[in-house]
Amino acid sequence: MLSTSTGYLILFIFGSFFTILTIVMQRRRKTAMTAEQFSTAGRNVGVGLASASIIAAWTWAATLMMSSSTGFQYGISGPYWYAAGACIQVLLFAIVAIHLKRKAPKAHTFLEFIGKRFDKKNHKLMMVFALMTNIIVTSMVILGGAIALNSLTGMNIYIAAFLIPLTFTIYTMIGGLKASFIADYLNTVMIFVILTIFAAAVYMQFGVQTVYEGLRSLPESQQMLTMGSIPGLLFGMINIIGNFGTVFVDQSYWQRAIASKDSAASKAYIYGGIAWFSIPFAIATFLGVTAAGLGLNVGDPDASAPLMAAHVLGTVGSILFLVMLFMAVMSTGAAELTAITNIIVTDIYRKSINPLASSAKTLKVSRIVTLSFGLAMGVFSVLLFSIGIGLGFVYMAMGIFVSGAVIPLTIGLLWKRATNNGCFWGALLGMVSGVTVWNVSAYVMHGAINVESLGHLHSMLFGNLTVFIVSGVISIGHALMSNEQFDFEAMKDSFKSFDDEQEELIVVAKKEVV
Amino acid sequence: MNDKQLIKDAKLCTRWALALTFILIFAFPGVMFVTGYNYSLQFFQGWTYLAFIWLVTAGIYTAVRPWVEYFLEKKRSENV
Repeated sequence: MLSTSTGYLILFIFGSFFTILTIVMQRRRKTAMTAEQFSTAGRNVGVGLASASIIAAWTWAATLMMSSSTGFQYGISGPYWYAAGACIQVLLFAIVAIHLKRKAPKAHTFLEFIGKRFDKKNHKLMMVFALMTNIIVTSMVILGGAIALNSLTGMNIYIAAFLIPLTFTIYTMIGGLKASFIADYLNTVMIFVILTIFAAAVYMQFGVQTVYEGLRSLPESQQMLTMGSIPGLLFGMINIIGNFGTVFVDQSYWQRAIASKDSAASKAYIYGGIAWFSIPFAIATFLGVTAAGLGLNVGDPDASAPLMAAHVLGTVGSILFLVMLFMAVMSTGAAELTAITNIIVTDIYRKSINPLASSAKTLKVSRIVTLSFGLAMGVFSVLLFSIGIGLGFVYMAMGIFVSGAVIPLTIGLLWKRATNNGCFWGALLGMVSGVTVWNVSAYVMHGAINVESLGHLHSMLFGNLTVFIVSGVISIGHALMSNEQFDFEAMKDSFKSFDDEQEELIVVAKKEVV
Repeated sequence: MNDKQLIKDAKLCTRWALALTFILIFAFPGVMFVTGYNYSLQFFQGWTYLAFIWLVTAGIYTAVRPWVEYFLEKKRSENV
């Protein structure tokens, strides 16, 4: 195990490095930062940087820890189901991303589109879903980082949970979305390099045959070397359903589409999705499955990856794993923070509080929101720890809370017949019925409603499935029955960039003076 | 970018996204699940090589493409 000071040192080094990098980049810029630049990165990002950023945003601490845990528990089906089950959402998101580009070319958030496509109640409900998604994902990112820091360095888990958000909050507050893109690129490349080192080291030290023989000799060998593993399949189903919510309802993915060039938006998600697949697939195969095959003594499957990393490369392995994990935490954290900031500034501040705010004022508010939310997330994660809710639980339960909005949101963007009431009640009742079924099935199958019974695979699966079925039936069914039609072309010009709005205000003010 | 091009892109990416989803979620695991195939040593070896090669290729793509785009963009702006 590493020393506690190593944990603090890693937090300090990476936090300062990205802050200094952002400051240097800001100084080299020829033009001053505007609110539009802060939230959209100039809408000029190419395929390469956008796909690197998508990979970074989708590589959570859970991707590295949980995928290896599934490999350790379910054998070869675990890595596959983790990778495939969470990759298709990014691939399918390419479809909605390009439709947003066409129908709302100057939107800042997907909620801005919802606000114009549907009525106020839908806008408010979707905002609740979106903020809930961002808060759940950010807390999960912080939880994963804190668990890893604690298990590898012995660092106090509460202090870690509070300090982690500080590292990405400061540079995000200074540089906005563009800084997040650059940090994402560096983090993603580093993750690929470290993973390749681990994969090569495992292969060279143990060879494939040793691992294979080890897996065959395990008591649960019948499921370790086949895709026909039932627990693996159940996990796969939960993974597929749950992750739709955390991509489609998460502003950070829409933001990457908004920031991309028109020609880059859809390609970035396809390329990014295919490239991302390799991360959980490789880490879970080389660290999770291998740990099981070698018979490594792992108390908690969630810790199989860091333990295997230490087993393969000793102290260097632990440090490399920690660095990789911390990079994943930073880039996802920054992506979520910019997403939350954009929602609060665009859909609350500029829509309801101060619609005439100047660019400078909007930028100032954006920075204040970024800082406040970053700090608040640290406190929230500490609270989660103190009530005994861990990473695996949050990961599998998130779909029940956020996936209700997926189908209403998607048909709202793609289908002119989607209705206000159908989408509103579909999303709301989808979530309510999902939570109900989740609780009832936990009680019926395990005799109590508590963190343990709610965390079982079957109750999670029933809850997740119900959300999708109910929200889909209501929103699509109502659309088919009501025969309403929406004109997407008419809304196209109603979106304006912050800079355009600012210019319009100046023109109006001049006219008034004259 | 004009609307026609965006519609064309949308069609192309829809096909790719749906085809890849079908292969990754239904076709490959479906066949493997139904047959209940137990990995032989050779198949397991191929599986790990696939994981490694995919990782390295994806890493190179992710690292290099932004730089290529950056230099092409720079060249284009210099020519203009």
